[in-house]
Amino acid sequence: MIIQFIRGVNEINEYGSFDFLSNLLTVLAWGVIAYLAYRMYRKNPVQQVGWKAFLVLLTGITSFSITWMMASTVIRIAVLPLGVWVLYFFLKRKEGRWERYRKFAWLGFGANYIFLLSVLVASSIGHFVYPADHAETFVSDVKEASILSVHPNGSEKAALNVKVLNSELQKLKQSQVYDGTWYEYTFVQEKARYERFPYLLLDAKPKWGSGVRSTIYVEKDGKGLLIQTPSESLYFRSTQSFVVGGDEK
Amino acid sequence: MSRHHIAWIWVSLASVLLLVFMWWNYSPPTQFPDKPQLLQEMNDSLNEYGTSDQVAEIQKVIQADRRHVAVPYISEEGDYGMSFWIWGKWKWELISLESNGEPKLWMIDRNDPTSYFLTWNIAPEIGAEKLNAYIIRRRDYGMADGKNFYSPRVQMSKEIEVAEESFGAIPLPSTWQEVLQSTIRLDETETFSWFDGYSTAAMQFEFGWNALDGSGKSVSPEVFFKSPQYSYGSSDFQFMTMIDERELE
Repeated sequence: MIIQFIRGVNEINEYGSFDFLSNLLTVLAWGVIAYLAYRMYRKNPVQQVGWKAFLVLLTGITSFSITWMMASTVIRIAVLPLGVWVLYFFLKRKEGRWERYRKFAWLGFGANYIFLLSVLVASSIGHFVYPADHAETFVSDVKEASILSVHPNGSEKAALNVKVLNSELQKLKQSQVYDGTWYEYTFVQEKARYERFPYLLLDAKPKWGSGVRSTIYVEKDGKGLLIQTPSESLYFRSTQSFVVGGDEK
Repeated sequence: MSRHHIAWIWVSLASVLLLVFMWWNYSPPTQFPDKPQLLQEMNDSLNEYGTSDQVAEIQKVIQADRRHVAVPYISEEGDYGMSFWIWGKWKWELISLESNGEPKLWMIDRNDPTSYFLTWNIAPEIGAEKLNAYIIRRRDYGMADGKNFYSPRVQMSKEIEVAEESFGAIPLPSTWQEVLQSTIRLDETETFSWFDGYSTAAMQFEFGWNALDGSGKSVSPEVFFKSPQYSYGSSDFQFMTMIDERELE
């Protein structure tokens, strides 16, 4: 969790965006755990020492878990309660101690599922608030944006028309990545040495709180955006060109 | 002695330790050794490695930045080599010696393109007037998880004059840094910055070069650097491949 917090701060620094929903839900999850622990403690405050119960809870979180990526969300299912086992062997050495702290250890293990739930909720709300089929999720603030020609096919003099891009953002239409015409342009007319996306879009900010990361290329005719996320490529077209000074076509 | 005094002793002891630690790690570089000293140190290293060749002449001391220096040299056998120095703990350390001055990328921190330097030391006899350095990422497309993806080709070049001075070290062009940075950003969330593994996204990029003579013709690869005689020391270097013009777009 500390790692996650540091990562969150890092994200804000480096990408000017952070994942608001999952941070919020992580905080909520901790709140729920703290509340449950407090209720357990209140039931019988004489029996256990507060800070010891807290340590037991934290140790209980340690577990062997199965991890995989699902739609760019990291899903972690706790399977073996390693922390609970360690606590059991350690605490049972003194008569009655394990019995007194047992519930905190298991709450710690259960916390893994509370976190899992929070991740699932964050990601499903995220799909509505930050839909992947809207360019605006990835490119929302273009005030400081510019383009850089990264292929000889692009023009060094080309510049981004921020105004046009800004007004087109809501109207961009998602379209098929890599259809037949792309192939034809690039390989059949081989001598043309054609790169469909010779510009890199710099300093565009994603929607606030989305925490999405992407690399964005601008099409040669100035009317398309190719958005690469860690998991997929997305392609959006506009009706107007937002590049000036690039020789079109 | 009163309690008060003891506390003061501890505080001052701690601050002295802190100061020593800071000085140990962050002491400002001293004057770079002069040429006779460099010559001495380089030849000592060569002897240590058991090489018969010796450094005959130091061509120049190129301060890449405050803590990093590249020193091109000519050996007694007539090789144009390069040595690399960094300000280590309290002293300038020779980290690498290469008898082959072929263009190389010096990557001080692999995950930070701002710390990359382009270095070269070309034999003036071959009559090269210009070097072209390239950063290239191949076009990639296909299907993954049932979705089409497309990754544009990146090809940027940097022209380097070698008619007057046939050696040098420069920071990576800022536009190249932008491109690398935008790709590194895409790496999976799971890579933590302190893991120091090389970004897999950055590995897709290739660095290459070719040389042009006075009439603008490519200098044939045969005249360059026969076989590398020796290459000692650090591995923070990436060779740049020689690129045939037909491979370029």
